[in-house]
Amino acid sequence: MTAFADAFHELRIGWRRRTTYAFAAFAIAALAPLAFGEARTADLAGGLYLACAAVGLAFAVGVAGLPSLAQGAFVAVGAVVAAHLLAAGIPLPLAAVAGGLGGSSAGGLVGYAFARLPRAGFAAATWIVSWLVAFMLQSITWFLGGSEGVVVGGGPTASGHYELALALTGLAALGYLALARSPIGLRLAAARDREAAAAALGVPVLRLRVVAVAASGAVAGVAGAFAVQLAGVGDATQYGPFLSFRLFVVVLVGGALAPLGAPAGILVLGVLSVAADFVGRLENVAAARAHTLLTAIMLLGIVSLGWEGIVRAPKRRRRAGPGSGPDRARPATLEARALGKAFGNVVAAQDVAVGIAPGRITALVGPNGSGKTTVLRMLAGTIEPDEGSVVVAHGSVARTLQATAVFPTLTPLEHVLVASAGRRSRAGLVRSLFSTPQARAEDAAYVAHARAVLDRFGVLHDVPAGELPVTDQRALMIAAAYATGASVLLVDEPTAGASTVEAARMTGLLRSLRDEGLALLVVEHNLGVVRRLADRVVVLDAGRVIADGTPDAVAADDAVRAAYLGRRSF
Amino acid sequence: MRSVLLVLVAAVALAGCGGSSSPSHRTPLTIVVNGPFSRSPYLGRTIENGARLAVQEVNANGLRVAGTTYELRVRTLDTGLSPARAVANMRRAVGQDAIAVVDEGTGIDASWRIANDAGVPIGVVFEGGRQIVDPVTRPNVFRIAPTDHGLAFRLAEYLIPKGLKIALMHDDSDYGAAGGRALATAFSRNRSSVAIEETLPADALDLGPQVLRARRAHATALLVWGRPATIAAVLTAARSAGWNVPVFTPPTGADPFVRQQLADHPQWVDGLTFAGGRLTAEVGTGPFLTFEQKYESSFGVDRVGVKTRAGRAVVVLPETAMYAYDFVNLVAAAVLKAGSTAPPRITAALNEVTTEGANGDQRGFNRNNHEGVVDDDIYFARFHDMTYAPVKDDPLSATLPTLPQTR
Repeated sequence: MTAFADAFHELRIGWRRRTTYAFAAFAIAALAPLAFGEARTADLAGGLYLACAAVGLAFAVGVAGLPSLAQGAFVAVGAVVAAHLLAAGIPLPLAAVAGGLGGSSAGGLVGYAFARLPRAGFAAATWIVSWLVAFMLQSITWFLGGSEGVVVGGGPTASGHYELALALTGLAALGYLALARSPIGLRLAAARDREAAAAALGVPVLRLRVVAVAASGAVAGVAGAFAVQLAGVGDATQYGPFLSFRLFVVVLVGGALAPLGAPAGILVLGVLSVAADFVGRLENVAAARAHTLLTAIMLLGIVSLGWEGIVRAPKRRRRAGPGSGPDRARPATLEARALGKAFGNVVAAQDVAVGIAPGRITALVGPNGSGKTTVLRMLAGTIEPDEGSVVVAHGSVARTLQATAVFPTLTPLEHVLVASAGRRSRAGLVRSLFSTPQARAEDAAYVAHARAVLDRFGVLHDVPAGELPVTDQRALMIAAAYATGASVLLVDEPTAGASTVEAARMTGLLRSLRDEGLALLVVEHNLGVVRRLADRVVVLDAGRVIADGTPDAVAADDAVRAAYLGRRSF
Repeated sequence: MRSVLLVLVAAVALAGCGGSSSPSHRTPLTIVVNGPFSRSPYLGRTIENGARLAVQEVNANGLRVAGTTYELRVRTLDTGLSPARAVANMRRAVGQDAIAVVDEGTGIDASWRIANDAGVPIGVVFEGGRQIVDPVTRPNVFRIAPTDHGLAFRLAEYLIPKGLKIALMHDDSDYGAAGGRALATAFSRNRSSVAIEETLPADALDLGPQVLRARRAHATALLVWGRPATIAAVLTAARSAGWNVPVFTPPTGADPFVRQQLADHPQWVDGLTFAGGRLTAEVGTGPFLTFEQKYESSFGVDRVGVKTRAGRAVVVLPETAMYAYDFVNLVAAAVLKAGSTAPPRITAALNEVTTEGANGDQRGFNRNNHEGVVDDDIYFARFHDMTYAPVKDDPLSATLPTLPQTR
């Protein structure tokens, strides 16, 4: 009862005007069968099943940033599975679950195969999948019975299907909202904005993208299963590539970042179909072709005008609460021995040894092209060394990128939540989807922790990170790396382009992290900062360590002066 | 004076009570034509035209039931050869209070139930599989068209006695696959007549390899069951290789597309023999020619697009339109028989009425048989100079006259 009371209380706090509008719209929509005959109600139910599939696609497109053009194929998989089960007498709910599993499996396979590709490649690959599935359905009559289809009898009436479809669409929208807010959704959004930066914060990008496509496939499969029962026949001609294209346009028109964007897009497409019929009659063109033409024109318009959708993304409010946030990081050391790396004929690093101890700051310096970034990437585990080893005792490593690389659409609060997500124990897919009390309590505790971290680093909480000043963005990158709970932080050029005041702020932050017991490696060009900040300095030149010692000792080293300092000094 | 007034009032009252026969007071009754208008426009249009012609005639004569005069009207819905759209169209038809549906047959296995729940009769007017019609399990489905089964068995019956070695070829379209199954059954007891069985890729432009395989199997005849494009491709492959083997087909051999594709080589069409439903009856050509005249007056002449050697334009005979025409007339008769426009009563009455068909045959159904074209009514015709005539080596066909096909 306490859990329900808490949930109800949170619902009341989170209730907004647009929530009222959404509920009102659903309530009015539920009355539609009273106004329409069976044929029109069946058409509306079919449209709602499409809307449900489109909500699933919106998660992959909007949250994960994956322009999937295979959603129609996943709908087809669900339909094929369900059609055969229904024809064999299996009840509709079980057939729908099986259809969802089929769609999810297909989505998982597609995600695993293509999620590594850049976006354009992913879109092209999924478009090919759509064509392949359509071709298979039409060529191999076993799947959907050729021109007569697989007949599916029984099931609810058209009105029953309508209410079912409306409920499913609502549930899909709620699921979208829950997952988008969850650590899974945040990490996907981070990877969407900047994949390399997300990976640097420990986000398992590929795995999460596979999950996103699988989840969208599951929703499509369920929608396809119910829709085939409504249609009364599994018909291969209904699952051509144009279905995927239409779902994609629906998501873009309605808004990929809003859970109710896809249903809004379906409404627009419904109006479009009326226009298509009119154009078809005027020009003596088949309505289906006119529909395709107008949809394609709409897509071109959306893409060229940068349209963000009819329904804007909801504002994301997060509640802080009591509870145990992430544990503090344990002190750890990093020892790198005899590291070597070559890229073709170019030796980027050779016999490099670096040790990073807790409670100390080690600076890694060297002229441009000396191999600092390569060594940093080997220490972070981003690339494998050709020789040597990196050993981290009792902890993990986090790294900031050289360029200012925040996630522009996320707030600083969300940045820190992305970074700390890997430490959560109640943020799995099911808990996130159902927004369980324990998941919400953990989320509130981590939000409180994140706000505390941001206060410590002097960064605003709730503005888009892309709008922060550059120095604040750099501070945010370090805050996020800190929030991962890593014991060893690799910080790449924290004061690049900073004024004296800003550089002093950065050095103060890094010292506070050192004083907390973290082991830090700082790559820097600003020798004044190095002198003030570092406990130890390692100097690289042409991929080799030419000096390793205190700042004073390194500054006096002749080899360092000759290779790097010239007339300059620490 | 009072009595005069009373008479006047009574006269006015009586004038107002009766049903009006003026067109503006006719109650509409909808007949839906569910056809592949976008994917097979010729077929869809001829079905629609046949239905409209019958509707025109029924309305001209007046359809009066229980004191109310009704006016039939035709609504068309496009299936696009999609079973799912056919089902959705059937829902629409029922929602539009259709009293009957004239259907090409796509998706019937799924859509008949929707019409049956509302008691709406369906008339299938294009050839198809046997399972489409079953008076017991599908009491609202009727057919006026040849069946695959009937065509296949008549072809077997016609060809086997000739001692030919037949290459059974069907394309991999659903039409071809269904025909292939029917042929396999029809020839199952005379496998010695079969030289080879081949599946042809539908819509392929070059079927040379497949025809060559048939030639190498020592086939002395080709029986090709497929879409018109497949038939044209087989003829092209055989004739261009100098192989003048006789070619036999189902009704798709008479499709205008075959002659259009071979317009540059009209001699390749000579000898093509197809099986089809009989267009004329024992009473002679009069009824069909009358029907053809009415059809052309209303909708114009359907030209094939080719000419004979004498330069005369070849026209298409309205066979499919005839079936749709006959079904609508049966529906009108059923309405009168039932004395009601309620679809369930029309469906029941369809088992009890007969009408004279467009070709002069008596058309009708009964509770045990919903097929309007019996297998015995299938005849064979052979092409020569872009027109065809009934063959003389089949007992039924030999009795049939040649219908004029040129203008």
